[in-house]
Amino acid sequence: MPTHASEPRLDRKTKTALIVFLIGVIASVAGLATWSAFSSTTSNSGNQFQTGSVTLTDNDSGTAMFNMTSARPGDTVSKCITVSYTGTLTSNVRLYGAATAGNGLDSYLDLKVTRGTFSGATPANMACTDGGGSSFVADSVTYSGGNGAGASGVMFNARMNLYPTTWTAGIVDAPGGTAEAWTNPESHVYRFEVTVANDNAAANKTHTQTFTWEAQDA
Amino acid sequence: MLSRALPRLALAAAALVAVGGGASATFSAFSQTAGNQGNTFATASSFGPTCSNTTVAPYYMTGAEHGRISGGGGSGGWDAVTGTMTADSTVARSGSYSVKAAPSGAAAYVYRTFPVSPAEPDAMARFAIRLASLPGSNVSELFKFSAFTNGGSAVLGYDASSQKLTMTLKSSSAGTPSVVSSATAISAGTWYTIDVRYTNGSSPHTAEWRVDGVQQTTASATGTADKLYQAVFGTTVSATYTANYDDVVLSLNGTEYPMGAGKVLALAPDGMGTSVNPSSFQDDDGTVIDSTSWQRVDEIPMTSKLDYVTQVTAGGTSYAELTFANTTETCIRAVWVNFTNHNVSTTGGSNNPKLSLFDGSTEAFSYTTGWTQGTAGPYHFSGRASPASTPWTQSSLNGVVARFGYGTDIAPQPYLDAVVLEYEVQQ
Repeated sequence: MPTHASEPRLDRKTKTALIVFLIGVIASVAGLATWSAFSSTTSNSGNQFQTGSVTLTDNDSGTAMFNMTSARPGDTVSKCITVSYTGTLTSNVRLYGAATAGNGLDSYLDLKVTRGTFSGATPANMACTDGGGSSFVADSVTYSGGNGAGASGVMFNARMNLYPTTWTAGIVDAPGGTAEAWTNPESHVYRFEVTVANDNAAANKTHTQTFTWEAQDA
Repeated sequence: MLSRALPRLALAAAALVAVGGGASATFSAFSQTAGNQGNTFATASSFGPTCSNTTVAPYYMTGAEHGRISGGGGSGGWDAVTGTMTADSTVARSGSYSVKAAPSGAAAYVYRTFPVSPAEPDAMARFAIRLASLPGSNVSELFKFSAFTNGGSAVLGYDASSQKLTMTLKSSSAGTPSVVSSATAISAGTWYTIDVRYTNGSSPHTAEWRVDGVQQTTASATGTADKLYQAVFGTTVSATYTANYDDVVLSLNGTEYPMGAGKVLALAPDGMGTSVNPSSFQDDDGTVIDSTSWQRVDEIPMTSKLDYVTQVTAGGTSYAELTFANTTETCIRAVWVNFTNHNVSTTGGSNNPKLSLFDGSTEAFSYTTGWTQGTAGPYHFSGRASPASTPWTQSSLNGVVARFGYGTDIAPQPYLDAVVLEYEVQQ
């Protein structure tokens, strides 16, 4: 017959003490649920949250700068568009665009983009001169980044098919090499000069282009 | 246990930070764009030459489009014609005719003489040349600019061994010539456009030249100051070849060099305008001019005097007006008026009729002398027409009219035999 070890047993006094303790604990818990404590509140109201704004506009009034027809080698058209910033956040601006239609003429269009100001009032219809003394004046700053960027405010000077198409690849408005912090209010004039290349292969071609400025808070 | 759990918590926290960082890169900035859309660019369906919008002032110009090679007097076509020189209707670079030189062991040439006062220090020529076959021996003269005093010249020739054109410059008859060759050989039966500027008003004398627009080596030689004398097409010395010349322009303005490729075309009368006192004019059949009288003066070649219009009643304000066919060309650099006349007097006279060309209200050309040459004829007269405002345009040329008459002295009676406009178009 196997032999079982004898288990320890609580004596009567110990059992009694344990029962009393458990009743006390239960009573304490039950008492808490039943009777609340004294309390008081304070608050902070009217907290407001508002985001900053990035607002960029131009003066094209919904009209395209260019409508070049039956162009020949050497033909040049120029327009000057004013881009204004009124956002509350300080922003950086980049230029890029998109070809929206055509059959390859952008490979034969020389595009030069120059930043500057007007010497007087802003001419109507995105013209670069009003014929009465106000004309485009290029900024005396130097741009870098390739595609013909250089002195006298020239940001781009290459064939139109090389114009960047995304923010990432965009032309940073960075006179002197440092991205300019646009603040409210700030405006700049951009002169676009387009010349048909002296290349017979440019004949009988078309192209449609969007030019975009994008501001992102810095 | 706690010492084992803490590193795991730190790792998890770092991972959360890393994820948060990635989200921050994607959505960190507000942005807005402004754009200019719908910019359209379109080129012409084909590119011809770009019109320079210049007006050339020729001293002489012809494509032989009037169909005759005439000389004499310095007022008509060429100043003189020597040897076998013809208007060729079978070979033409443009239009319907060219000037053909066919010397055969002899001289054959036409020339124009430049004014000697004021002295001309330089001159420009633009013409096209075509050799029917390549000569077997050297040709010393295909074209020549000559100097007035010292025997100098600038001469276009041909070198048989290299089959190239040559430019020979002499600053005097005794000077050592400067000879240069064209960059490439030429071919038989092919038109080549030649631009030449000859300068001898100071030292060194130079002959700048181009072949089909390609600049060639300039011939240069030191010499004393001289002035221009003649431009000669063909050869003044014995030679054998067949050369055609077309689209000829001579200018005393050296700055017009190089004109580059161009063509000389013709416009003939195609109707009657608004004549004044028309009863003062008659056709060759003795009837008063009418709406078909232009057909009496539109012949090409303008070598006939069988039909004509004549002024029969004197009147300084009377004229018969002719209109011309229209051109479709748009880049017109020069206009030249050609007309032929004769009269029936064998004794000459002092009549004073006039032929004018009007561009709007501007008299672009007029000719008053030379209506008393005699009965032989018809005699060829010509001159440059200047537009009311430069440059000539398609509309201004298409609007010109010729007016014949104005004679207050019509004895001997003047006969207008033909009128042809030649105009030069940039190519």
